Amino acid sequence: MSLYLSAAKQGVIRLFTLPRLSLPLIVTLGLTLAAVLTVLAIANTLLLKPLPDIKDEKNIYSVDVTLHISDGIRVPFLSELNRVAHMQQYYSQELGWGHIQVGDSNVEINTRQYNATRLVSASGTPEMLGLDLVLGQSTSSEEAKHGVWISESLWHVAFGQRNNALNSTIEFAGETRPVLGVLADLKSVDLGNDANDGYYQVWLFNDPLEALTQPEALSLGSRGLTFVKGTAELLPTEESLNDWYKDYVEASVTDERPKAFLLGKPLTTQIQPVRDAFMGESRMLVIALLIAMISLLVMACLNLFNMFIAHYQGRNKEFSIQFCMGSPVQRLRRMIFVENLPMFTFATLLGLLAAHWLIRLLPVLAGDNLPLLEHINIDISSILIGGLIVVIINALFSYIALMHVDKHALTESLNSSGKGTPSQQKQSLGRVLMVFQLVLACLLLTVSLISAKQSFDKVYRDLGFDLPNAFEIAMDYKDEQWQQSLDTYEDYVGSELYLLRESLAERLDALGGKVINVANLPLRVNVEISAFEDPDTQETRTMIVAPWAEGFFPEFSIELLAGRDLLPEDKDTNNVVVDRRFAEERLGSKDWQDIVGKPLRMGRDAENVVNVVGVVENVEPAIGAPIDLSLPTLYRFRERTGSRLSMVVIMPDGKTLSEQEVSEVIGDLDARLGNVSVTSIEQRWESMTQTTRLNMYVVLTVAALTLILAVIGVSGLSQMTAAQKRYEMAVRMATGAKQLSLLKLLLKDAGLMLILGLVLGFVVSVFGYQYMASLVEQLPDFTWTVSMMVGLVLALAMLISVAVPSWRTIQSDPMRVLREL
Amino acid sequence: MKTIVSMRDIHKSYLGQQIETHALRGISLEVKQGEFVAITGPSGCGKSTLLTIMGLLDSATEGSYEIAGIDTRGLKVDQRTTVRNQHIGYVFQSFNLIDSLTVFENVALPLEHRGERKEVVKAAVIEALEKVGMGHRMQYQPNQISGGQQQRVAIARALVGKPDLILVDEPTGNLDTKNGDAVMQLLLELNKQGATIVMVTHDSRYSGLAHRQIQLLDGKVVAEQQVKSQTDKEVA
Repeated sequence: MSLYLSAAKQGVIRLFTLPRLSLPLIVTLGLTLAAVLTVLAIANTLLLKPLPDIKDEKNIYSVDVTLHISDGIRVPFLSELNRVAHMQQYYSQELGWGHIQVGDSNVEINTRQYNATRLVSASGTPEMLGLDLVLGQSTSSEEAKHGVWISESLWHVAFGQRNNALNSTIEFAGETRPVLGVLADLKSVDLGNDANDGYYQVWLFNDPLEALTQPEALSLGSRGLTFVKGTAELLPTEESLNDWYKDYVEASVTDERPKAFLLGKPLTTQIQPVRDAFMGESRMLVIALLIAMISLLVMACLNLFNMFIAHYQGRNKEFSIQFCMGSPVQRLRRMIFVENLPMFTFATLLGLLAAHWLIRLLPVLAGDNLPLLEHINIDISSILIGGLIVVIINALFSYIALMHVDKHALTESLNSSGKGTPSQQKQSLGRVLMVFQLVLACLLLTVSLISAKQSFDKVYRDLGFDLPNAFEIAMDYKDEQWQQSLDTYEDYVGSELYLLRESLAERLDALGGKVINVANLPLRVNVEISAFEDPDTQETRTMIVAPWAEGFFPEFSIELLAGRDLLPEDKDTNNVVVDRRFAEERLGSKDWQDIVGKPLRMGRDAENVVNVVGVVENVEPAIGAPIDLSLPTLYRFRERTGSRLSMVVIMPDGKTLSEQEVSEVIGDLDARLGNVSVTSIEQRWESMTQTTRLNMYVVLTVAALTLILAVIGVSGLSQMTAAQKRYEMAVRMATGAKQLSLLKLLLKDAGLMLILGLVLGFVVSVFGYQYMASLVEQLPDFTWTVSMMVGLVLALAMLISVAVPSWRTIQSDPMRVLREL
Repeated sequence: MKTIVSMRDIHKSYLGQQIETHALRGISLEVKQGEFVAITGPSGCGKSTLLTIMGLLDSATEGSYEIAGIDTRGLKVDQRTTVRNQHIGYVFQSFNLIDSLTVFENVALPLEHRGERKEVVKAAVIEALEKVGMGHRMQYQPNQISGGQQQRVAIARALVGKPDLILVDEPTGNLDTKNGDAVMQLLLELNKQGATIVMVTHDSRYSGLAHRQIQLLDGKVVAEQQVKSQTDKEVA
């Protein structure tokens, strides 16, 4: 049997007979490899592989024109087709243009309701993007504006992939439209609809030329995606987009006030490859994750490497004999490589298996933070990369395991008894690795704990109100036109919407709770933001306009700070309550209470005056919202229709509400309402914080893993150092050294490296973090307290990691070594 | 004369893999101050085990052991260490010098562990090294000097604290004849200067130089031979 075959056989045997070596290696390397492979698979799908739906992506660019309404609020301007159509006319006719407006809508197909994403688009957009037409006619056809196209996923579920879908109709936004085609699912874009991955899509098409003839609607805020296709030299530049904006506003907005408003706001224009636009911050997030996972892999390898050194030092004699028998050191290294192959193969298999499961868990772990989740998988390239990583690690281990054993040391080992002075091993490599590991641990812990702290602060911050046993009851408007008509009234009191809400409140009273006639819980999904120009200061003021109802403040323990609460008698007046933020913005942090009793102009019109009767504490209306909603808030007795008809009920403690129970009391309120849903405030809090909490748990897991790896690594090294120093300790004990002085000696020995590692780690983490934060926008600002805490925790953990194994070695009768001499 | 070592019915057994090995079986002996005792016997008879118990590197399974009037039974690890530091000097067969320390630092170890002041340590170390003829190698590392010189340094370390008892385990085992003879001559001189020495050796040339020879076999004392006068003895 050849030496290599024999080594391989020994390797297989050691898998089972040497679990102290094989088990930590397989588990540690396997799991960290899984993490690295998972992130590599994500990076491969998001950054390298062609997009699954869009063809010729290299020539397609995303165009954004964003208006800065205030510091925290930026709204896309290209949300209307007529604006994009104007842009199309403005630039070269050789460019191809596409536009999609995204919204949610319920569709009814064959009496069954589907939660779908509505894509109102310029005709020809799917063809421009290269989206496959599965069935039916081109979206540029004459009939396009009368019908709809549905996505392949919706076609599968609603029509079972039957071709007769083309002869069918769907109920959609209060009207009936024929299905004219089936398009491939639009997957690359995050459409903001979590239901069915957003793949149930209904497309409506409008002719851009017709849109040009429509007047400017002066609406802002809805989401629009604009694409342009063409060669680089023909593409609009960001500067020219500014010129277009001015040109458009001048030409299309006739009223001077909105024109001045639009031209007076700062603007951001951007044109970028479509993949960059779709991936957004994900690119840097993936790179940061990749660095973190590779760092963990390096730390794990350092730990395993210390174990390897200890193992191979114990076999020095064996290698010395091999060397004396004529084996070159290189051959010994190759034999070690072959011997370790079975262990590394098992680690690779475990890594691939764990990566496969991790990827399946990604939708839960990553939530909405990563696009194209369903396309991420372990493919042949991942397997090859995994194998390559492990082969490189094995080769490195085999090389370094014998690096300190030069030929001289080998023969010396044979000539000596293996005891006494020759048995002292060099530890410089292990110490350098320990410093390196501490630096990595410091950086990783700083990044993960600062991120975790941000998530914690976000989830568990003071919202400014209590969470009683409150429920939000909501119903869908089946008729969109009726829904829109409800919002058209001169006086809210007495309007159809007012009466509908009063009627609903009366019925809900039967549930036995306290009905609060407002549409939303204080933690709300929809927030009405109003912006206007202050006639006194000419500043743009942005605020949240929230509905008020009797009992709203006391039931949610929203503290009244000045003045009085609104009363039912205030219904027909312009009396309002504002929050402290609002008052401070108007009158400053000292005199804010003086706002009570003051009439405030809310625009240029004389009738837009409100009278502030009270000030309440600030509340946070949402957690994890994409924009900062810490805005001044004004509470008034007026409701908007909203996307659904909803109301709040506070039930006695311990009492829950079911949809069936609510449906029974609502009865036949109006045939144009349906789909009752009940959401408790806890459910709302859970759903709003879910992604942030998951992120926090993932980040904390990374931090815990980092700390555990660092502790294992340093304690392993300390154990090895103490074991190597047993002889010296024994001599010292024989000459009168007490146990405590031996411990001091070992701590002093490791202390210098620990201090060096921690100081270097601290410096690297401070500067490294700030550099990373400049690249990854999701990373929060650097905080010294967390960084100092990391240093302290790590120092304490490292001290224990050194002291415990050292003390155990001291306790284990080191003088036995001397007796054995 | 003062009794330095007093052992009564010392037993030592090791429990291996279900097999109990009896290394010492009821050894009793006394060593008086200023004596030079050689313990001899064939390999495996228990002489090194006896020396490690005498040096408090190990403890007896049964029996009592007093050194300089201190009963060592029930002493804790650190108490045994203190006794060893103040009353015993140990010379190992393989020298056991710490290679990361210089010759000076190796010899200084017992005094440093005793907490002596630096100047006291320095004076004592220089005196000890001069005594063994290694004063000119104080700043050398152990691996820079010969085996014979390493053994001299080990002897200097054993006597630097002026212990009541110097235990020497096969002092010539790792040395050639010339170096071995020189080390034995050194031990004899130290004994003449008043040091109490117990030496383990299997070399009859050297055991014959002691005041008393104790012969062990299978863990028992089988013979004890008193040498009448040692005055003019020298290593041949």
